Amino acid sequence: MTKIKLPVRILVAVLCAALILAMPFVLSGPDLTDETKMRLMHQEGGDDEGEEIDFGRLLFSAAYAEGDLDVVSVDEGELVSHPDWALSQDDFTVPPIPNPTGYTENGYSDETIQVTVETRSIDGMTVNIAWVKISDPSQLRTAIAGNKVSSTKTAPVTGMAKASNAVIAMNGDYYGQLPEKKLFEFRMGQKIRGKTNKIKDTLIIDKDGDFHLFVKSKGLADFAKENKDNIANAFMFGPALVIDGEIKETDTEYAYAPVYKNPRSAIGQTGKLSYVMVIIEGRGDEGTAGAKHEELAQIMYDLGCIQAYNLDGGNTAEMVMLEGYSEKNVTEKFHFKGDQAAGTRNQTDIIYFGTLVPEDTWQ
Amino acid sequence: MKLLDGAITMTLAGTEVYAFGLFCMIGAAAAAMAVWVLCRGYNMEKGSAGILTLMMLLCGFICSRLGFCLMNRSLGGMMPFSSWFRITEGGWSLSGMILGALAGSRIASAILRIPPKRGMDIAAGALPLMISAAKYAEDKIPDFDISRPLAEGSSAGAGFLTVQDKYGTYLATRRIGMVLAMILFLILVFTTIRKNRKDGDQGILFLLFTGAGGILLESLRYDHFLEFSFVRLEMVIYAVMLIWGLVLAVRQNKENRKVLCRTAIIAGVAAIGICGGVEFALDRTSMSHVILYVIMIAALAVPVVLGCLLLSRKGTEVS
Repeated sequence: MTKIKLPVRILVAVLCAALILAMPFVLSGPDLTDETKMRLMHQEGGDDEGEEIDFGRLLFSAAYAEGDLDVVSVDEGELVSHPDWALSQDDFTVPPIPNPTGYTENGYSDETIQVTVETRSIDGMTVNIAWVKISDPSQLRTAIAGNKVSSTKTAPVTGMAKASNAVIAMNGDYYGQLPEKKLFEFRMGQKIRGKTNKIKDTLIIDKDGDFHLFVKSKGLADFAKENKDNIANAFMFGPALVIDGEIKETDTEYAYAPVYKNPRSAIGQTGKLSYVMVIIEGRGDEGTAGAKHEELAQIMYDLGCIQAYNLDGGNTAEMVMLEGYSEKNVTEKFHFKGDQAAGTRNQTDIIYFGTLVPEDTWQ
Repeated sequence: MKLLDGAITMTLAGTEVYAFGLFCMIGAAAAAMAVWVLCRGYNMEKGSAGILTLMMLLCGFICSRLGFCLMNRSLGGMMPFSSWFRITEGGWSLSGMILGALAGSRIASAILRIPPKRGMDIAAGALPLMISAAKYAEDKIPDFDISRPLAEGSSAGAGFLTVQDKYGTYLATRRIGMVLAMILFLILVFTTIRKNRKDGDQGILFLLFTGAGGILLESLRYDHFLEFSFVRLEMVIYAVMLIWGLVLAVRQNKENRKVLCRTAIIAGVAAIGICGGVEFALDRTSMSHVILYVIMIAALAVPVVLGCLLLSRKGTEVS
């Protein structure tokens, strides 16, 4: 064994003590802080240039599409606009709880939101559909499991919907799980990442509640620069299914197994402040085999979508309508799971619709 | 000294410090004490404990940071290289620290001219204290190192090993890790005072238990820390530790138990394969998670038990 001289022993002891005593001032945490993550995400690289597209196209009513499927009207009662009830679109403010008297056999209705839920069998596929009409764009919201958009915390869709007082909710694009370096993701006006991506399509929902689709980021950079304060939510999953009332041709090279039948989820805009959310059941028995991208696009088109976008599928595909908020006994009125084999999984984010009617105005 | 915004801090004697760093400091100090006690137990030269501690600390620091920077994918890709050196901004890998400390003990053994196995035994005896403290330090970080919800919206089952939030109750895997590390420390203390132990036994036991336990805990956690797609990268490192422990146990075995040696290695590889399958089933099937974790624990227990059997020997043989 090596003999160690006293000065060396002292020096080593001092170095050990210094290293140990420095820890409380150096080791801030096992992971990057949220602030650091956000800073690093935003400083990395720059936006790619894209060609300008006509993103300002007028939105037409649901009758614009010439599909074969029945388009459900949710205009049975007039929606009333209450600008003073509008919610912030720059934070995760939770809307009021739904009025228990607003629930109908197949949905929910009050003076600010109408929701109709149905399940159809289309070409051997089980398609769960929610038709939504709202009076104010701030009712189309997103929620995240964590406290900050940089968080990768996950939670059940049902749990996030409940915490958000959602009338109806569905999965988002599970952005916390997306491995791509270049993403364009916003939640409630807050930028998570601001990069274009040459292989993925983008959905931007502006603060008027209108959908804007960008194929492989074409025109995205210009739109983002010109509308940086008007982006409420943005998703980079895709592909875009229906653009400006026309079915987008399926890109067989796109990610997410486009030519295989799988559980799918999609959201579309059918008119001004009118939307449709779809969950197609898959990985199950006959009738629940799922859909290809092409089939999903056709369904969204036939449902009257002017713009439609594919969200995360598989066991991320999930839609839930909750009731019982006022009784503090929240239960599932409808719960559609895309993956018939694996069920559901926790996710980082949801898209949901809320009411604006304050509890103290209930009659 | 200005601390980082957003980090969890505590006030200690009027000074603001990082909570995570404070408990890591306590763990490192306890581990240094353990190294000193073990060096005295081995009748090593004065100052040996200092050299071992310094090398373990330095290599542990470097490998922990390096491991995090290489494995972190939360930014959508590799950490920018310029950020690798901003160590105060957070980002440390526990498995990297463990491997680094073991590498440090190897370097120190070369400096001190002692058998590398003995250096590893000393490191193995001290590391559980550091791991336990690091896991306790993680407890200060909200939502870090927790499991999937035990049941949606459940408020039942709250206890020391669980945490709750508005979405449900979760296993606090960091606390389970802390408890398991303390149990491992006691096992290693027990084997250290065993009369027929040989140099390397403690190190092998440490690798076997840390590898198997690490795989299980990384599977249980669901916070996407150091994850690429659905693969938890630290789990891969713990799998390497398990196999490394088995290989060393086979090499340590001098009693010509060839069947046991082969069975142990095959069981280790099979266990890792089964764990991979269980991981897939957890995410892609509706099979009961309890059953899947029973399968995983059983699969991991086999190579650990076989590894321990390889270390068992008849009679008294003091090295």
